Amino acid sequence: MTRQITIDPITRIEGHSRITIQLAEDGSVQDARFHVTQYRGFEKFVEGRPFYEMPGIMGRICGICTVSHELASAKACDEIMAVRIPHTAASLRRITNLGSIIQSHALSFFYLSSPDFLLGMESDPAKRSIFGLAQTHPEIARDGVRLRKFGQEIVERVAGRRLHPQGIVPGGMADPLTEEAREAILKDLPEIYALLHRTLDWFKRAMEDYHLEIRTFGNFPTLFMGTVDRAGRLDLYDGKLRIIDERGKRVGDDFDARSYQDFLGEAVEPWTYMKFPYYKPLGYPDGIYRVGPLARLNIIDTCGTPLADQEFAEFRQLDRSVVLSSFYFHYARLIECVYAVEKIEDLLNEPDIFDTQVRAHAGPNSGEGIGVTEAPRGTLIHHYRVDDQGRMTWANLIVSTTHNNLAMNRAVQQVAHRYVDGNKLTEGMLNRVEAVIRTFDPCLSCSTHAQNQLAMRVELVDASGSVIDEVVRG
Amino acid sequence: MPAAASSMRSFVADAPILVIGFGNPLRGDDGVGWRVAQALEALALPEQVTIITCQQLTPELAEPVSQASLVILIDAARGGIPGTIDCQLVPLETQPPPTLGHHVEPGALLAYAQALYGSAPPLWLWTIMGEAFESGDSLSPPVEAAVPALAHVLCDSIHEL
Repeated sequence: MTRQITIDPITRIEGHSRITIQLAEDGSVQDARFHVTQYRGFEKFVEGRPFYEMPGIMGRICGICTVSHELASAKACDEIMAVRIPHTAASLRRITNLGSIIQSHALSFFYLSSPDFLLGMESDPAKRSIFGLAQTHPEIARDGVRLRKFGQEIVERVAGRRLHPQGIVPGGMADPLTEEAREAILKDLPEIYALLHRTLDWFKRAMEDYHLEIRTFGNFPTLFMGTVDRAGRLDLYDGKLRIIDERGKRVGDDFDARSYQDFLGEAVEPWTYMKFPYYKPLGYPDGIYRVGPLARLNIIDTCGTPLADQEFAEFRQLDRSVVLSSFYFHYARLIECVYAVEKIEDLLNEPDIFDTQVRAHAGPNSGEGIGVTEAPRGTLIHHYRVDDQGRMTWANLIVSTTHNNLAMNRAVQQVAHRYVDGNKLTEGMLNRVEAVIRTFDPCLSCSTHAQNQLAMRVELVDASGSVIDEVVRG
Repeated sequence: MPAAASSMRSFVADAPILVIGFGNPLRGDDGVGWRVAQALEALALPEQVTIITCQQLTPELAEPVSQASLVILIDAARGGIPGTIDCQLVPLETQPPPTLGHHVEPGALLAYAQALYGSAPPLWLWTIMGEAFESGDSLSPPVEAAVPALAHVLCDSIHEL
């Protein structure tokens, strides 16, 4: 007789999903799966719309990584127009992207995951939240709010609006940067550097209490993929895709992201709406790979900015070669925030940053465009085809979280095997199963407006359908 | 309405006032908070008044809320006679929801202001009852008519504080 535990919905992530854990008769874990239970369908309903509407429409996929979708979309449109956007426009897009990544990482690290680190995996779920944190560690909660606000304000100051900014357009940016915006961002930097310094300080100490989780939270060999610049440095906007194996060895040459279909396949399973991308030469599912902050720090030679590189040197000492544990996604997010702040400062000090030529104008000059950028959660690909009038005929999106689907499922299995005892469910046991998903910071699209209204119910069900144990949250 | 407006006066001295008009301006009457805020901005207001418009209340608003002596939220409501203006003093939420992401309720926003920054000022929620929340950037006629009325009530109330 097999039994099944269902965690539905998973809390403190972006979107709707559930986890099922299959148990054997003796209560041991046989299998575990991460299901995504929502369907968006953007690829289908944009068909027939003019291509230049795409950044505005595609940005609506998500309320957190909206900038990333707008950027990938705008880059695909740049290709359809067959234009090279002005240098200053590219710099402004980079700044916007970095601001967006900071706000998203702040949300993931402080709001969603830090209650686990600071209040404990076993703590009362009613208090294991940012509000609980505000009562026990108000200075850390304030830092989370401050860092997210800083990132949001960058997006607003450079691209016009915090949410769904209208400044990212095909051909570049809608408006040049103002002196007022530049000065306002620069003025905040010393405070943000200090905030990140003290956050890294306490988090590195906190990690010492999580040796077991580090060993068991998605800690297995996979490939890693991300974008690097020509010098092999971290690049979150443009560059070539690099894939490495679990020993740090490059798998083939760095390749143009436009040729992603030569390297990446997509498998489908009947029990989830999320596809399973894999590295084609190794097949499915052996071609499992990870993207996002952990992957990006694994594939690069250096970050390319001094403070981030200091932290990067410590990061590289965590494992023998490549850092395999998904728990370290959290650490990688903080290092990327340091990098992002340094890079924003560099870009704002470029001599032509106030150039008013920030947009190339053209109609459709190519029937196809592929836009790739690094979103907070990993590589994001928008691929469009248009007719002669520039109307969309086909779209394919590979969203960052999707790349990690195979790895997230394997991570859930690993944690379930280590922690779950099907004969008796405990809060800490179930929270760890959720927490390993939170390390990946999956963004299952912008459906979290309902997040707070949903309870979490975990049921242990026998083969006849009878509930033999239950835990309810929310 | 006049009684509610006068009760707001008893809570504030000559100190910062934060006005937040919120809602989705692309969903018909849901955008009425923005429209009232914009109408209010066009009126002569004291210098200590700051006006913000946003689609949702987010945790990041806890800091400016905590720095105000009075907060006025303007939102759409549903389920009554379209165009009806109402107002209520929002109590501090003692058990805010455990997760925090895109959106917080007014009482939870106060709770965060108190927990994070040590101050939760009186917060009044003013609403105009809507009737059409479909896609579109225009208001229904009764809601449109209520916009200048509420803007003037708020402006007069602020001047009389």
